[in-house]
Amino acid sequence: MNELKRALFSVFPSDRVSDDPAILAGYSADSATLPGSATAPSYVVLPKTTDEIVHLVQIAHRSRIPLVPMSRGSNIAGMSVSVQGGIVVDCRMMNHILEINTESGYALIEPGVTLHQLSSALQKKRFFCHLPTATGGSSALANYMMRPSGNFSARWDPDPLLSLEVVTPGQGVVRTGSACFENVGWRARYQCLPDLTGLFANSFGTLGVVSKGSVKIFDRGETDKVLLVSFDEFSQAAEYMKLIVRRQLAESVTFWSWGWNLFHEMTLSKETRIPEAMLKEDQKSPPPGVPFGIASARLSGYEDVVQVQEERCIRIANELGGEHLDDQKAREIHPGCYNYLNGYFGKGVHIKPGEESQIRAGLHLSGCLVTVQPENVAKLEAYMWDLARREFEPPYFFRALPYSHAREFFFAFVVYVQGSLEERRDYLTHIKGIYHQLYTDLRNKFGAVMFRFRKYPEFLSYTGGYGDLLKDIKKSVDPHNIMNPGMLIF
Amino acid sequence: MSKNLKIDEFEYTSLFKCTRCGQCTYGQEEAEFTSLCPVHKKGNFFSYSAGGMMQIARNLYEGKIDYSETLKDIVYLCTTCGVCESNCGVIENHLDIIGKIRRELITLDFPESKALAKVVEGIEKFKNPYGHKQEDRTDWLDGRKEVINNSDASVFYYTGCVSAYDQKQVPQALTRIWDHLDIRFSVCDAEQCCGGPLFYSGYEDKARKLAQHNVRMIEESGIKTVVASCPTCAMVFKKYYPEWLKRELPFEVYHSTEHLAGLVAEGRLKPGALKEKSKAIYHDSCHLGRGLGLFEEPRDLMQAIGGLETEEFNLCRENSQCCGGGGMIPIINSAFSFETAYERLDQIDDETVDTLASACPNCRKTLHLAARKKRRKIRVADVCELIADSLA
Repeated sequence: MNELKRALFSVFPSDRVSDDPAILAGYSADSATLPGSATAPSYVVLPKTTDEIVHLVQIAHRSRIPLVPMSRGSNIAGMSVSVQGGIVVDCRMMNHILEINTESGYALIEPGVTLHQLSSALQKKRFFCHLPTATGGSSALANYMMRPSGNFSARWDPDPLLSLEVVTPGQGVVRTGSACFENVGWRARYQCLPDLTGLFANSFGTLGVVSKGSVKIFDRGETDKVLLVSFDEFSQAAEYMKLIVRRQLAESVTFWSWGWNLFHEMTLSKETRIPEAMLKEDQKSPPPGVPFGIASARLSGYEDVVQVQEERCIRIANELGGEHLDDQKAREIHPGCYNYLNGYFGKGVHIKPGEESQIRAGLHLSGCLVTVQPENVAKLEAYMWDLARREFEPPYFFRALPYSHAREFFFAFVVYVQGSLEERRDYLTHIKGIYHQLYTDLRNKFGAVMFRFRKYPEFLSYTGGYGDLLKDIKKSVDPHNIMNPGMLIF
Repeated sequence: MSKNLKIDEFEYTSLFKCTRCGQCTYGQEEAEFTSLCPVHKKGNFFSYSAGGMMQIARNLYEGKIDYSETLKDIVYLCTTCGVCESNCGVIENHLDIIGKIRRELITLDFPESKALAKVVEGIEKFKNPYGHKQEDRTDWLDGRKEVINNSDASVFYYTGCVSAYDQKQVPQALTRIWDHLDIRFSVCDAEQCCGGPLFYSGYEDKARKLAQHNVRMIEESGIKTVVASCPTCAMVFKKYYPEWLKRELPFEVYHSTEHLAGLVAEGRLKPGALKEKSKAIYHDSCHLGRGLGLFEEPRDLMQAIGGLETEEFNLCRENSQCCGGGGMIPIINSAFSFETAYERLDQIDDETVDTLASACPNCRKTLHLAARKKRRKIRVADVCELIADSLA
């Protein structure tokens, strides 16, 4: 037994550490790993406590072996695949909700707690958490660490994180936010010192292993309502979304183009074939009887206030050329979509099997995700349609939502790739190549920025002193570059 | 590639869809994240799940790993309960792929492989997994020769191996009900295994031969209504036969509860009252519930029985927990089968419930054996037995 193995087995019991190839195979790939590219780690460990993580990080630091943190739930971007070997730190057994503090409005959770688990627990207290579009089985904390886009992005800042506990190779246990002070607790993101929670957000396990964190929770209010409005043009919808958020009428709103809404139909029906209508040549024009897109807004609070909010939203929508879809009409046009949007925005739960079920009907959902200022979002949409017509095969579609009081918009354009891997390998590579260049083009043309890091190593060099500072911090936090080196941020 | 696992490109592509989300292991919202997958209960790592086995299959296919003790341990825990296929959002053929891994494992020198190989051999030779004689298949009829190959029948009864050779109370109860209603039925002495056990061992080709025989046999009888007591048989007939044989079946197949519920709805069957009042809890068989979507029919039948009070498991319907009887697990890993059955039994309070009802002869057998072994006083019975009792 080598020294590393001996060290790992001294910290973890044999049912929570393994170097068996059959066990490691489970950690060798996710849905983004191409044929023949599965790479297993050398070890996998299942920590249960922060202390175990501390020991593990010390061992890895000493042995200079990569550590790849993994929480729980959907893995669709290769972020937890250990492309350089090393140890996968699978945090699925750290799945406890440690505290729900309705008084201070936060929940303290471990990384293995799923979105479904958290939202179900909060529902019993008539509270609500931010729900990204990831499946209900995904880790809430990991998703929040990756800047989620979802149902609370609009009225509040999209960042649901408060304080974190992170184990780093350089400093050991670091607590951020209000939790950095003993006996102060987990209630706040900011105190009198610079914000370090933000440093770890979007770091994708390259700076340390997160062992717990507090996240924002919200009072559900007396009532809640999902308001659906259809639009024929995205520019009208974008203006509508901006106005209803800025004027405090809705706490969230998302616009889904018709293609996405038809996929919501598939989510409900468990349909495995892409509907014929989705494959039409002209992807911008919807099939007869289907609106170009639907803006789904969540309104909540006192019943009489919600009623007024709803009336005002409908008035604004009408002025901009939108059409209110009442429950009956929405059910008639899009029964599956209606159920999905009501479940997700209204009840605050993910309808199973979840949005990833769309993958069933094809091979891959390949997305270009950016944030952009409000005045450019419609121009960006027009640009993407033109590009898609030239470069992509149907179906493709988009969704957009205002962030942070509509200071910017999140915009996700998705190409749906069908067929077998061998057949589609060149096409997938083509899309990836287009996106790579696209992030540069969109930044130059529209001031749009990549929403989530896509393993483009040159990206940090565009940021000047910001990148230099981050590199210095990385050297201090992780001197031997053992933390998830395959992410290629640094 | 394709070094260690024979799957086609379609199946290989499906492996790439796994996002490792883990939904294959737990049920719907009501199950509150209870792990339902029997494999997952035995190991903490992701590999102990259907998703994990998909990753294992991918690595086998790519020649990156080989068959091993651990791999065998994982794959031989699968009871084919179908929690994975009904809860996974992206893959729908986990069991086909697991079957194909089993097919490779069967040739290797593991005790479980030998046990499974014996089952496969037995089915090929004797047309049933127990290695019993074909002429004993109709013994449960107790000499009622007139119903064998009965040309005057309106119902073809596909008895199934478990009912025919082992759980004879089940077919006897069902035929008592038919007799009560003057429904003429036929049983064929040439009936063979439905092929389910072969399919779940990766031998679709061998299973297809059985399918061809069984369909031809029923077709020749000219009867258009086929009833099976075993949910696995009914599921294999309904779901797989048309796929294997590449044609629609020339007859309708019903599970016994589906058929009897239809008779109740028509007003032909009117269950009576039990002699002694009873309280029963209903266990959803995996293949009847998740497999065929038949949740209401057995419950409706039980509701119709006088003097029978019913109760539900916390984990029921789509979230029902396997009894441990599927996937040939009682034969290849009997300890694990019992362990799984005990877990199900532990969810019952013997003080409040006197009967554990199921609508599957295999569940009946597994739970009955486990209950006896644990000296539990609860009676395990098929829904048909309860109805037959009410008519007595």
